[in-house]
Amino acid sequence: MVLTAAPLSGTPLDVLVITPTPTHPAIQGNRQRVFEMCRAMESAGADVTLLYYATEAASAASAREMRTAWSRVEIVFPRNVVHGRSLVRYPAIDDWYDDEITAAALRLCAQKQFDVCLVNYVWYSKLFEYLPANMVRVIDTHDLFGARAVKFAEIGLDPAWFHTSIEQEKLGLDRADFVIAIQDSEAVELRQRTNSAVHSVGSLAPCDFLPARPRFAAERLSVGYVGSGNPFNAASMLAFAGLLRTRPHICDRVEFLVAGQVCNTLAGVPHRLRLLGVVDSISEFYRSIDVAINPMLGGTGLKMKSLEALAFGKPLVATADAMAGIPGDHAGHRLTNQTDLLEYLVGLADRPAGLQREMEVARQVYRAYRRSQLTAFNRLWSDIVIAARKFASLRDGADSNERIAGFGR
Amino acid sequence: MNSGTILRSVARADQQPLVIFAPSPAAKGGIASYVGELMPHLMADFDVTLVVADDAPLPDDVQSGPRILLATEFRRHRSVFEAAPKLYHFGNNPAHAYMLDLIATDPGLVVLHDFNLNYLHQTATIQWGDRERYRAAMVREYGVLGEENVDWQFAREDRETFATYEMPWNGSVLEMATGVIAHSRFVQYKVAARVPRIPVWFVPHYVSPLVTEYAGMSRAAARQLVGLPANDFILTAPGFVTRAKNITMVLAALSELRGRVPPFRLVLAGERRLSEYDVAREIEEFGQQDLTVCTDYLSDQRFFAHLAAADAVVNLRYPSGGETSGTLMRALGMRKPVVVFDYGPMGELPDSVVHKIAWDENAQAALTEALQALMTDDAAGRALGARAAAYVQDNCEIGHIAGRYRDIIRGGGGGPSSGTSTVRHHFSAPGEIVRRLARHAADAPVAMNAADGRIWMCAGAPPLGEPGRRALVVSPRPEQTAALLCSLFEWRHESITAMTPDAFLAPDVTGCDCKPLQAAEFAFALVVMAADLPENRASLLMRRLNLALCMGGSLALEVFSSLDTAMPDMPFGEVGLGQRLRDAGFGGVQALTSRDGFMRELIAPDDEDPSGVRASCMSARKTSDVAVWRFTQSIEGLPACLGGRRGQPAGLI
Repeated sequence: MVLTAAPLSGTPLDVLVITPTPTHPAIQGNRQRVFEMCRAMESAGADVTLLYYATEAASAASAREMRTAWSRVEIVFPRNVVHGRSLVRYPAIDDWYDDEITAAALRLCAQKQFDVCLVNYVWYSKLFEYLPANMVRVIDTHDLFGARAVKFAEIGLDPAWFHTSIEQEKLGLDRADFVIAIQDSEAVELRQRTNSAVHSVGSLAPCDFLPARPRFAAERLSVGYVGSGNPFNAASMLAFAGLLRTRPHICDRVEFLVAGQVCNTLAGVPHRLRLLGVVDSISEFYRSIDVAINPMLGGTGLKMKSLEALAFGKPLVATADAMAGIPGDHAGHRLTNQTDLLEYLVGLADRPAGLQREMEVARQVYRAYRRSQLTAFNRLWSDIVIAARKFASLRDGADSNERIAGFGR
Repeated sequence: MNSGTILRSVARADQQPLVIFAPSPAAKGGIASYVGELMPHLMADFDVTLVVADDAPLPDDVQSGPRILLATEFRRHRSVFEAAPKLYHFGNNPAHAYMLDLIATDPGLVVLHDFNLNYLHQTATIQWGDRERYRAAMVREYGVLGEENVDWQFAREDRETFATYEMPWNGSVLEMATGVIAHSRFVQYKVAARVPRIPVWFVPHYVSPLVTEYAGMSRAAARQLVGLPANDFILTAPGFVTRAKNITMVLAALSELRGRVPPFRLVLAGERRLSEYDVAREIEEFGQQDLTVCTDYLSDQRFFAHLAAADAVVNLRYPSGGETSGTLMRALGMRKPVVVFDYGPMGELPDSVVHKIAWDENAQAALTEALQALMTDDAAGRALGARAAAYVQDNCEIGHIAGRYRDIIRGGGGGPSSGTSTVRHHFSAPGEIVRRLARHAADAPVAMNAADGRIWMCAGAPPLGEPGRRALVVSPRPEQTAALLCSLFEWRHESITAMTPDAFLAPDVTGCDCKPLQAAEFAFALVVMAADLPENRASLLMRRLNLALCMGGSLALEVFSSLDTAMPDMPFGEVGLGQRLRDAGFGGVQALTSRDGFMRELIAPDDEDPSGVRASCMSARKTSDVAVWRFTQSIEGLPACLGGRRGQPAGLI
């Protein structure tokens, strides 16, 4: 059938997205997050303009890919920014903010009237103080950054990236109309920290289920892990490599493939893992393994690596920490420690017929998860649209008392 | 020269303007001589501007010659010559490299002195360190064959000598030509096969007018002039000393004949290229140092003196790049008996004019026998030389040849290009597609579900339709799929030919109007089909897609298969699809996944991926007419990765 033209149900919202990480190539969890949120808003009818504050190197190829993917991409480079530390133990909420972001955003606002501004990471929320009053302000938090040092201290690390106090985080969060948590448990926490409306929206990656890898009768079980070099990944894989050294016989039945920047950490220690480094195609990596693992210990935020494996429909064997924010009660997804994880893998190597069942579980878990996240996104987007329609009637420069506060509370 | 000077000088001429791109007549080489000797004849008929490379030597006498512009000067003032016919002299050497860019912007009539332009392209790219341009040009011309050849060369850091002859690499020149002049039927037929839509004329190589000047020189006087013995038999091999002239065979023959025939000398009357071919070492190996003379580069006067001094000439070219030898024509004109291989352009000369040797396993023995006959039967040699001179006087006189040029150029041979140009596409970002869908809000979910495939529409794989462009849709539900293509990507319904995979793979493929599909008819093809296609059908599909699309045409190919299939690497499965596309002459291959597109569920809430089915999509552009079918049977009992595209090894669980 040929589509018949219908009158527009409403003009699409114009959304300005500020991100300190590029969307392409999606080799890190936070990049995937930015990509998915932008794509979801587009799918809901938004016209997305991406302002990339280039804190990470982006090649010409990745800039080209970004320009192809989004209606408009602007890139602004940090200039003379010094990551300050105003407080004794923490940076204050605006210590990492760069006025170049304000200048670039205002330039864009002068060219086009945006309905919504979505800022990735709370420490860029200072931008909201410069935007016209009639724009809906949204923060995608990615993680909790107030009292983050405590989480890191649990594994004996200093927080390598931005962290602050809960009070400072609240200052930033309160600048927004909507705050997006990446998982339900963080949404609960954030609601304690801010008066803004908090929504929980997790990963929105579509199902991309792969077929099972063909295996030979005598072949070792091929187990894979792919991760960036963040401290929790590194610490978890170092511990896992150490555990495996104490049980070398397992490698007679199981081959461990590791991909991603986490390999840099492992390269300096003795191990029985096969390190692949950064791979060209993440789907080819998952296609080449029988089982994905995530032996994470502790950690913050949503474990994108676990969700990625599930989105590819791969059997996943993971610790409970690695499945935080992903509902389900499958035993292989709720292992208490890395020793149990290894035992579970040995069991699969002995009973390869169980792989089919594991695969079905993975697919079911991801389908259910995604359905719930799409629902959550729809709820968030509906609230944003309502707010945008109301704010549209506000005069530019209206003070905050005129704004409608407390959406969703 | 500024543009005012050019305009004035163009305006002053009352003849038809003609722009010739060629090596400077002051340069060394056969083509430079050819252009220089033909120039006075063309200047009698045309107001000639000669465009030479920026680094070309300029002739001392610029008054009597044509107006000369450097390539950069021509670029700056090209609008002045927009209406003028263009004549390009292309040969397989660096002197022509500057023309490669110019013919792309200013197409014209091409005189193809060598069918093979491989070395020319190499000198224009890789010898300047521009590997990427070299690779891109090879891929465009030869598809995956070119790419793999380049990879092989780069891996070895060595030039592939095989490719130099087997890959003539002339497509980018011929496709921009408005017509082609060939000096042999050999080249004429090959060009006609390569670019069937443009005219190709056979114009024989003329015999140099200098022949007349030197024909009267006696053998004795010539030998005295160049210092050769008065009574020895002189065998001359004229022109550049290259491996392709098979001097080795001549040395072997003379080595065998030495002592059995009257005293002789071998004269290599041309410039040696020691970096490519160390002839001195071979002369030494055959023990012919005392009987061989290497002259290196010769002026015209000394070159003709050497021809006049010769008793016989050898011109044994194999392999041939399709060149017609100017030195051979000069030798014939100088009444010399010439021995050639019966191959390529030389084989076209009448049997009565040259002594031909078949290029086969007996070639060495036949050459030895021929040289022995010439050395011992002077009368027969003189008779052969006389017939040769008569032949070239009757058929290759320069005035007659120049007349052919004049007629072709005046007949429009150098006129506007009929060559192909690459299609430029415009694509939509997924967000734009969503906004188009929003305009059809009520029908969108139904239409999306009615069409075949999922990823191509969400990820924006099809280019936007444009006036005059046609699209091909091959899918199980072709009409519905074509309808969605029209709605979302602005193609007009009448510009789409839609059919099922079975119809596209039928012995006779016809469009909606029941007429056979034309080669290069489509700017875009959308193919959605099951991955479990037998290998022979898969290869046929790829060949036909290559044929159906124009150069630069875009392809979106989506395949689907059961997630629980027992054979994941099936012939048309996604694992080998990228390589299959490259093999079939497509480049820019990009895998698209459901992650790349908009989220269908946010537009059609009830829409969920069909369970148990995996879809994968590739987008690509046609970069080469060459489609290769590569198939390796997997070996039973060994892992599938050691096999080819298909084959289920024993032992799968």
